[in-house]
Amino acid sequence: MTPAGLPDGIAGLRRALARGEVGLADALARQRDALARQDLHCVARMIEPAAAPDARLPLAGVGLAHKDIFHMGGRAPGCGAAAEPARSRQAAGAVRRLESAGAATLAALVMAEHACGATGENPRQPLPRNPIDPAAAVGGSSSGSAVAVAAGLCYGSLGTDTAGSVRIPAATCGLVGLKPTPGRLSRSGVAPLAPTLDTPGLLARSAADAAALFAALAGSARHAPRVPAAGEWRVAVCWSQPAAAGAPADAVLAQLDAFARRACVRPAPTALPLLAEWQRLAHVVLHAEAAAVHARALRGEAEPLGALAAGVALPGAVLPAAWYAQALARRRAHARAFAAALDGCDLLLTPLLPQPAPDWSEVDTRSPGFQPRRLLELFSWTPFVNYLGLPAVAFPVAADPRGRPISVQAVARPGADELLLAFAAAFAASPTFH
Amino acid sequence: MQGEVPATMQAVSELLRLQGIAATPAQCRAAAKALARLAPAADAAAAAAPGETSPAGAAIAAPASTAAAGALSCVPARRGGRP
Repeated sequence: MTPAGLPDGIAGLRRALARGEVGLADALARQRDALARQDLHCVARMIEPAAAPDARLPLAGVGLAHKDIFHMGGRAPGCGAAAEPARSRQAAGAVRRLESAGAATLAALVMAEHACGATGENPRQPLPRNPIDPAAAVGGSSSGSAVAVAAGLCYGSLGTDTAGSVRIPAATCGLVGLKPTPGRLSRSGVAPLAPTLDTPGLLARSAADAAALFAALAGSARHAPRVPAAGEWRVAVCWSQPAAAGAPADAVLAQLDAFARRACVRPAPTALPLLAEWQRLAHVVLHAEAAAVHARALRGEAEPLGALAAGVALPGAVLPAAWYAQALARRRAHARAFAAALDGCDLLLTPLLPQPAPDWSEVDTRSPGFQPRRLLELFSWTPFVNYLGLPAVAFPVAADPRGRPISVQAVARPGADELLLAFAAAFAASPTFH
Repeated sequence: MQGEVPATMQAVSELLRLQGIAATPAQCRAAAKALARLAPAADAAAAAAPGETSPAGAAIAAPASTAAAGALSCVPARRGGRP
């Protein structure tokens, strides 16, 4: 049950509503109340309730809350910055799709400033608390989304993923985090960071909930690949890369190996010799576009950027234009190289976090115990997915001895979002984290 | 690579000034180190089109600063990970 005393999953909630075990208005009021009373530092602002939806809609009664980077509730996004959000006439396209399916938008959730950060650190806000373990860090930048969903305070959350900002927080909080194929979800009404890489995504407690939300958001795929039957999944695995920060710990590697054998009779070991180059090019694009997006702030003509956001934008203001042009020009060829590396497999498995979720004291840049290496590890396996325009899903497959999640990342060809969610539904660890 | 950073830092500082961007020395140093990490590998094949196989390998040091480390801005491509 959730803190609101409602069934944990969307399907269970919908059954309870259909049987009259709980009324629609009561269910929504209880969810809103639970979120408003939370003490996990995950809410940026509550949103005034809208009119009750038609109970027949597929997501009627389902309370959602989203990263404060989307237009919603009559306000522009706050983006974790200091300025008070301006009024806004229309909610973001993705928020409207969910509301059209009956979902209620309960709150805007905290985030790293301007989506710049692998954790939820934001000097303007207290550190968000990880519901699994208060000492554990919460990944970013969609940190409030991960906390609210993991705590059962909403059934799902929209986030954005430019270099891992949906998948990393999902992994630290034991959630399913989907970074869809670019274009599957509307980007209208979403504040940009690096438009070539930015992708709205979603976080949910289970693959079933993620699939229900994704269906409302994206509709049917035009050329969706066939979902293999149990035992027929063809899975490529790549557990290593040249970057030392990406090397999984032995305990993590053992769990990932065991998972791959559960999911596939014969996982195919796959080398990705261009992985480091893809990661480099992702960062070239990220820095260059962030500098363009935040050019006024860099020049002092708008609210100044905090240290982390400036650390992303400033290098982009000085990197050679040729590097950026080359990164864009080579993108399609590199995507073809990835497709070739899949070599007939349905998807590729990689680590998501090479270590279990770190302590806050290790990755909070203001902490005396800050260890830069632990922070680097958080995004050592994610940016290449954005550069290549691929869909990916992160989900938990095991827990470490402290009970913190160990997650895998499944990456597929463009358009195979439903395939990834079906894979997660078939093999994700039961939601014991929540 | 480390020896190149002061020179790069000076260039970074000048480039930022030309754009009307006021940056602290620490920010210029962090940006210079980030540039060093983002540079295409000296080995031309590393940045070649896919199919021309060569592991990429921009030389990477530890994170330049807490800001850079915290900002999704580092590309750790140091060799020597798990085989």
